[in-house]
Amino acid sequence: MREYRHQPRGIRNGREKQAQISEQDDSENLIEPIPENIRPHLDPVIGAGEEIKISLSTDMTLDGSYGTDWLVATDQQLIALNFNGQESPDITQISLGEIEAVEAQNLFGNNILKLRLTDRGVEVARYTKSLTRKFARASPKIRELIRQSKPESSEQEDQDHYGPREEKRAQRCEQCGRPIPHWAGVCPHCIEKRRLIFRLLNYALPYWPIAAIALLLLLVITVISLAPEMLLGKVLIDRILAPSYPRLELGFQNDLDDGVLSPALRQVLRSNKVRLSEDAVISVEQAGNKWQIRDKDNYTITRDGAILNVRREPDIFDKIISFFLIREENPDPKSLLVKVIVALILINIVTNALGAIRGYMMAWLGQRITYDLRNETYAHLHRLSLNFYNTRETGNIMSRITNDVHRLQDFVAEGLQDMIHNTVMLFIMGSIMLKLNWKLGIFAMLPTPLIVILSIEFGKRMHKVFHRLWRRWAGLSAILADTIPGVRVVKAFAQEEREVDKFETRSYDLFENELGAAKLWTVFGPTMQFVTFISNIIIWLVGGLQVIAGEITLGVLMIFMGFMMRFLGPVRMLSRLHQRFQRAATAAERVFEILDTQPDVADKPDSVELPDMQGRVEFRNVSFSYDGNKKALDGVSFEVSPGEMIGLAGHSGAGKSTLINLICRFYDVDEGAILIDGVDLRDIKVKSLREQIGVVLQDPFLFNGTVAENIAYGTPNATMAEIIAAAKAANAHDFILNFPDGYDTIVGERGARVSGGERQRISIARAILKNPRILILDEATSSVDTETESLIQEALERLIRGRTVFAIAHRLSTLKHANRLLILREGQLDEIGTHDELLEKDGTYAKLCRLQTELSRIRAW
Amino acid sequence: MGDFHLKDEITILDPESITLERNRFGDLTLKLGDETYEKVRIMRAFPLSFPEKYIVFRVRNEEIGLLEDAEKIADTSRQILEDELRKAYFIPRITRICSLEENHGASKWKVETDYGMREFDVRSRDDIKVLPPFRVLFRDADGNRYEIPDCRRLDPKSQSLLDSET
Repeated sequence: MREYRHQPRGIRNGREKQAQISEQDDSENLIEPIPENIRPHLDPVIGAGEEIKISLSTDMTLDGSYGTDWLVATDQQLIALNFNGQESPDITQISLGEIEAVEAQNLFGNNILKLRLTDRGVEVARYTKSLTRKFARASPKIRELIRQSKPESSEQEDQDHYGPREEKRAQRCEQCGRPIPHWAGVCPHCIEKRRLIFRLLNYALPYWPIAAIALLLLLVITVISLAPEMLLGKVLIDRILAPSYPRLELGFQNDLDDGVLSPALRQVLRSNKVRLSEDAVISVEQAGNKWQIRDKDNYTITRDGAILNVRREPDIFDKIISFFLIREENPDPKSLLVKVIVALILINIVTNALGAIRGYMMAWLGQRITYDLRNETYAHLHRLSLNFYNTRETGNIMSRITNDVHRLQDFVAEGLQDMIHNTVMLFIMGSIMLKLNWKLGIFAMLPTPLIVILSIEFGKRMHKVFHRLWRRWAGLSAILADTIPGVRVVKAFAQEEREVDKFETRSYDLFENELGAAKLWTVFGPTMQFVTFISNIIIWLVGGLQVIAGEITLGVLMIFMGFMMRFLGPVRMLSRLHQRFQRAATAAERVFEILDTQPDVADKPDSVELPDMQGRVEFRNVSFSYDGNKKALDGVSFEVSPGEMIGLAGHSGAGKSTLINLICRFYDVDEGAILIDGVDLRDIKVKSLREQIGVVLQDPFLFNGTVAENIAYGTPNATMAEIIAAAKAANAHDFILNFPDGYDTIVGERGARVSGGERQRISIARAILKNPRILILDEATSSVDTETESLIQEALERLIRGRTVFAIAHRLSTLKHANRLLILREGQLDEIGTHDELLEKDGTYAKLCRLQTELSRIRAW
Repeated sequence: MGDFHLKDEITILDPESITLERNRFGDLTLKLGDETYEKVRIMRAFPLSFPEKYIVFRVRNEEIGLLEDAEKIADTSRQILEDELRKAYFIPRITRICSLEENHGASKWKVETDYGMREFDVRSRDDIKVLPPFRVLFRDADGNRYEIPDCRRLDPKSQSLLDSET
């Protein structure tokens, strides 16, 4: 037999580590600064050389009203300052040596800290549930102080926790103190959005070339997609359909005197919307009938006989267009038109083609990240211990793998790209507009802030309304889910009308809320339309005036109109950016929370396999607590020899299931040790251990698959003949053969519903096939008819032969094969012995037996 | 109460000792060495995954034993066994899908089988089961069964009709 080694504390599991860390933090929190008005009351009672170890404020006074009392502990005494509605507090001083026990009483809505002295009890502090955690940390500290003050002291009784059960999980954020929403499980206010997004992007890192190419494509597409508007305005309108500066025919000759424009020429130019500045004529190169005027950067006017060619100086956009499209000086309008049309078609094809490539790349990236994340999360879920599952709802965990991961994919593939795309788009469009004409550009963008505000406001309201609607819908479904299955009860009590009324009330509520949502929609749509319309009007008005004045061309005006149509969409999108970020960050946090959780039960590096287990089980002074407070098992010791059957009995909550959870090592013990064949459970590889433990549960769980697959769940290598043999031994063979598909029947499929008794026999077959050394039966014969029960009993008798068996049963008759019975009571071992011995002893078991005999007599009646 | 041994739980029949015959009523008769069982019923333990293996012989709900592999018994007996199995498990093989109409998730199939033309209704897609890789099983609204042993062998039209439902 190997010697039992107790592991050093701290490296055993994560839970303990955490507890230690928080203890360190807490010792600092236990000393709150004492305010000036309290000092004078306190100072006289604290002797010199005493050190304040704890000083805590309450949020209630002892008489039960809100207020602040103080609890102070030094290394020698404990001082309570209780105001009780008076100006100066009542001061209670208790020397630490007097204190026998510290009780934190969890009551309803408030708690009381009570000290038990040798001869009396003193209540020293009262506080609401908000301070539960603070004071929960205080009582162990007080106990520690007491221990230090009387070093010779023996065991003291910890009567720390009684009263209503506290919630297992923190309900408030540890950082900001805000309540944590039920659905989230993490504090949405405190999550560091940026850090999370970066961490999420880490998953994209392996695929960075794809992301980079996609981003590059995105930028190219964004730029090209703006080209049609430019082409339409700059070329189609300004140069082909409505050239702003036509060739002018002059009827007079003397238009230029010594380098100054004659009023007549000015008039002609003005009426053709060519506005030269006063000091326009800068260069005049007169040669016969030809001359040229340059007006700064705006115009070049060339005169050729009676013809005036007015040409606007090309801006950067004209130059770009010329570079691609127009090489000759005076192109033919028709051929130019054809060129523009061809260019438009090409641009369209290119943007769409690039867009498709980019879309596919992003979809690939998004799906790939989701795939990785989903699999990683699921694999990690299976590494986690039961403890993780106990504190969370199944639906919540499931939704993290499906909804949250999907949301992340949406964000990575769409959200981020949208954001970049829209930002770039706005930036480029804004710059072009300002460059074309800064005045009109500013006017055009004037309504933008209004749209941002409207979108944000509307988004918030819509969110609220839809949530309300969603809750109403859920309420309505709840009624249906309630009454339709319960229709027998409704009819039996003739409550149809009431149910209909109830439904109608809810239904009307929904109706009203739907209308509310509709109202919001119908108001928002036209409002946005109106704002958009206003911005268009502004452009028409301001731009129109500018066209008339010749400051811009018609083409530029059209470019503005086109851009405005495309400007508002991105603005609206970006307005909702925060919401999108928030949602993605929360989803990320929820997923990462799973990934960051460390399994409580993990193999140690030097753990061993245990291939030939005998089945000797020994509990050595085992204590265990699920929540760190209430002990589910408390100092349990016993020994079971191989092949022995132990019946476990006791009230519910006595620790039967806990004992079994510990044998399976779903949890690690807090104190003491469990040994199998003399080896500490924690030194055995978890996989090796569980391979030799068989479990038949109260409500056996069958997976979606064939009957044969379910029987061979723990032993995938079993032959078909072995599966049939196991099913026969479990009395399951006959009913399985009677399914049309025999062992190939899919469990739960239509036409092959498997009843409770049948499920149990399949799970017994599963255990038989696994052939474990240690077998656990959890109330295996409940809720079946007598005949089935005898079939199951028979199957169980075959199963338990030659194995170490732990059987839980509420009905004591099912334990008749047990060699010994183990009676638990409030986590402690109450009695152990054979049936006869225990009856002789006339203790708990004897009482239980009598009760059940009486009950069955009543039933038989 | 002796130790429990899994292999004691089933009787595996020696294929050499099995003789199957029909008596004058046409009932299946199993001769097992010296013993003779009349009116024997046969059942497949794994009708889908191993149709020719693990055949259970029973007489009035009493199990005689398990034949691990039908191919191992003598030819004449095997012929009788196969006839009997074909009677007990009537699962026509679909060779061609002529038409398919879908209506609210239920579907009407018109098919050619190795037993002739047949029309049947399937109530939901759950009743069409694809056993990887290429085997497809049908259960119609009345509980009849059909199968496609290998859907790749169907003609392209049948395959595209099938694809729309699986």
